[in-house]
Amino acid sequence: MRKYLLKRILYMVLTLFLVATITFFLMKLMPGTPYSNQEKMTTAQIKIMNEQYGLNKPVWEQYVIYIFDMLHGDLGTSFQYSNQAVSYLISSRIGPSAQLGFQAMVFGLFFGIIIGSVAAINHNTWIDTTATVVSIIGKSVPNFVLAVLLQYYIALKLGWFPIADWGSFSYTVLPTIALGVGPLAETARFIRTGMVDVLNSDYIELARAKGLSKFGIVYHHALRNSLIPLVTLIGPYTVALMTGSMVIENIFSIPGIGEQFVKSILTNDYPTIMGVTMLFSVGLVLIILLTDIVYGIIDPRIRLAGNGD
Amino acid sequence: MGERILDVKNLEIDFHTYAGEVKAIRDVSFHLDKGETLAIVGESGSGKSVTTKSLMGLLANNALVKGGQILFHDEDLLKKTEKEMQNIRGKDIAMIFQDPMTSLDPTMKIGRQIAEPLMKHKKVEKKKALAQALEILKLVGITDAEKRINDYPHQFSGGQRQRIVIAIALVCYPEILIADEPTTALDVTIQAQILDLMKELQEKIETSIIFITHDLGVVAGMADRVAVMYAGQIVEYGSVDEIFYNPKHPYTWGLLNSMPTLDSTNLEAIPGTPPDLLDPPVGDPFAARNPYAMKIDAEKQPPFFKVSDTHYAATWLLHPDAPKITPPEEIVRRQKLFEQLEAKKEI
Amino acid sequence: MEEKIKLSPDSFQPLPREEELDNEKIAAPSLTFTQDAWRRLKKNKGAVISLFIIVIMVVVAFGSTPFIDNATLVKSAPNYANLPARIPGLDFINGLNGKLKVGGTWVNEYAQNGASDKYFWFGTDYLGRSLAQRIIYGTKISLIVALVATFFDLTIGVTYGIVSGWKGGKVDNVMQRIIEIISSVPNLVIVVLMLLVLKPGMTSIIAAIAISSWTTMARMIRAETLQLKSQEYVLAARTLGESPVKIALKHLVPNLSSIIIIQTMYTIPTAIFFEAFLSFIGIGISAPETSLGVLLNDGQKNFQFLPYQMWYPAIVLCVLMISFNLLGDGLRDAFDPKTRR
Repeated sequence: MRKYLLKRILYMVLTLFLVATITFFLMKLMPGTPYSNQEKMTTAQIKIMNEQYGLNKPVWEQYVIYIFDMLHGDLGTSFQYSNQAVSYLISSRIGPSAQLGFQAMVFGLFFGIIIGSVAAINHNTWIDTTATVVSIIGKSVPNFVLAVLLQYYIALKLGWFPIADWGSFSYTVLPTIALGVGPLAETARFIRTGMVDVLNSDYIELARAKGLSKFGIVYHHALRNSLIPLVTLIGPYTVALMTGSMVIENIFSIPGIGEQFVKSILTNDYPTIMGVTMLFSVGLVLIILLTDIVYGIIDPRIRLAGNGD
Repeated sequence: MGERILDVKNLEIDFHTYAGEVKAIRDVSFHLDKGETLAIVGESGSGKSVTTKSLMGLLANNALVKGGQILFHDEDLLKKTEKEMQNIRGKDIAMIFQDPMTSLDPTMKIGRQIAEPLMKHKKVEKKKALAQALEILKLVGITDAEKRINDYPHQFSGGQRQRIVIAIALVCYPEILIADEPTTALDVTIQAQILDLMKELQEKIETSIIFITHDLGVVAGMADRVAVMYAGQIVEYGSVDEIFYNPKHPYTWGLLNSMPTLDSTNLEAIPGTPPDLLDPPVGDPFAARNPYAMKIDAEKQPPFFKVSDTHYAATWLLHPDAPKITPPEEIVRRQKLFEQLEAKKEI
Repeated sequence: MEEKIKLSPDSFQPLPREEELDNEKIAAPSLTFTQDAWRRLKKNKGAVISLFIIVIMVVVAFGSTPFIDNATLVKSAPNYANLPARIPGLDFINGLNGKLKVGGTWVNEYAQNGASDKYFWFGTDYLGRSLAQRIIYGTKISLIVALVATFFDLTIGVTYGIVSGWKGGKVDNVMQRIIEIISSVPNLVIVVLMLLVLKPGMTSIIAAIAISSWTTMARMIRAETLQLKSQEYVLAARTLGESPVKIALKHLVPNLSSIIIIQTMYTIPTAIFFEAFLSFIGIGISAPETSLGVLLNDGQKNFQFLPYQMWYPAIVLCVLMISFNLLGDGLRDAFDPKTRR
């Protein structure tokens, strides 16, 4: 088990290093200089700016400096907001994004599990059909379309929730829903298929033969067995939430990482783009490692295989 | 034998499929006495599993009981609600399934799985239930039971798992134990162990067993009586000796003929396949595969003809007007043995 | 009881031979795997309707090419700006008769702007350009993106998966690490990086898809190839000295076909979403070209007053996504041997 973990972590570090390298050189390939008001600047000014940001050094030297700094937690200085460290920019904005992402994940998983199980228990009835339709629509309607509609009809027309900005819990409700519907639909589909399989399995038949009630069977046997594989979806959900946050935070004017990322892209703020890319990659890689470990813990079959290593 | 505890009368079950109504069970009647073992024998698709599932009230959603009665202590199980059936399942009638590898919940400790019926039916609290589970776990011959009660199913071998499944079935001391091919998925050596265990426990717990199998070899040592099923019907039933040594139905002949014994010289397979129950043939369903088939077989279904008080067979060959035919060599040999046996009894 | 049955002696004559083994014949006609899948797909109403919608969209979108080109897209007519939908024959339905709700009352915008003789089925945008034309063009862009993604799925994804699974060992290990690296960065971040290096537009979207869209397909194909590799018929072909390429084409691809088809159907909506998403946040397709994402972004700005400008492209995009998802599900059910009964 320990050996396996060490190997995984080693690969993880290697992956992140490669991501950093590739990102760096991609940025170097980018046409033009990063200064937004380039036309107004004199060559001398540009030269000074280049020196300030270290852009006059050979590329390989810039690369070494970049990697070295990153290992010390220094992601460089933002081009867009002069003199602001990227690490500071990120850390000041990570709060809302993390909260929103977490809420959306919980929302999606919770309701997805409920809808999926209810559909599976009532397999091939109108309830099942309704749940399937809901999850197909949830999967198909892009989250930014949903966000705009929620913002207009629920917030503006009905006035139930704030239209935009970030603050108390009520500010988070609509963005959470918009962001969480994708995972919700995916979870509902996944749980439904899984539980239909489980409910047709021999051990459920044995549970019925024991005389357990329908609820007892679902609660004690079916639910646990269909929930365990759901852990493997947490990784892909994280990706969906990260990308989703880019547009949802924009629509609801939430001061988060995603909103900053889009801003940085539109203003060619390389250091911030690289910083956020690295943040996303580290987050994703960590979550995938974490879910693998959790999967091993909650599934007794894998637990044993791990011990045998 | 003892008191009659189960009486199945004229059971008819259809299955609703896309292709149409499959007549899976057609006019099946049998009974079970206290403490005896009844074996139901037949090839796959003959309806033996469906019959037992109907006893448990565990039929699939698309099954439709067309008629008949299942009298358990003179109460018709077919008229019971799902709630009432839940109180019978696992308590009065329990079941062992075919494949021990898949019939245990992979994510629940086996102690808990054994204790579940106790908690449900006897309202025993968890701690006591687990203690009783430990007892029965020892009884079914799991070594080191104290430790292993906290293990998960995948940590056990196939034979051990079937022992656990038996423990689950017997933990409430049921009156009837239905064993649906309990040894089919196991190695031959393990098969014998499981069968011995079942016999041993049957005496201890005083339960009646309905033993479903397609393997006549397993039946000989296990059963008191045998019912042979074919195409959703019982075609012959009688005591174990009568079925093995004095079979009357050509299908039973075929089954015995295809079973290797120490004395048999050559094995013969039954030609063809069972009929499509979507559209059962007119007359005797076995006619098409029966080398002794007569014209009447294609026209009219044979009734049960009495051979002895306990032995009946549904074949026109037993009609008084039917021509005398010679059964296959192996059957003749068996019938001779039977005559010797009967002769001995009379002395 | 049996004494009562009186039968003619003739009844006990042996049954004629030809009636024997009558039940040996197989009742259902034999179907090939594809035929069977097609038959099952046809039973799935949702999938059939989706297929129908997709076909119509493809025909309309690509059939429009001679009529809607870049010239039509840039031609603005300010006097027709922001007209709501007006469909001939639907004069009685507010919202589809050229009337727009302004301050609580329905106002005939066409009459006000001197365009009483004009009919814009989906209305016009803020430059007076026909929304219907732009939506059709946008749909075409979405479908092209879908085609491109499919192409890379089928070429890179399938080949990569087969090679990785077939070679095994070190090659497989390295190839899997590469996929791991690609997928440890969120796909859209890769896309964004590509868009920064290249110029925003169709080329960079295609490049981005080429890099990131095929990994799922490659993974699934690899897993299946690993299983197929040890199958007897593949072993037999190897023992007979067939070349790996021939084995791949003759034995692997046909057996992988159901996975390929199903996975493609899931790649398509993802790719369509990609494009719409990028264009929506302003780093995908940009003016003078248009796409559903661009239209949604434009529509969103005026949503409060001219909701139709967002609703129409949104509906088209959603219908497109739903259709591909439903068709994908239908194909999965039709091909999945587990549900074959």
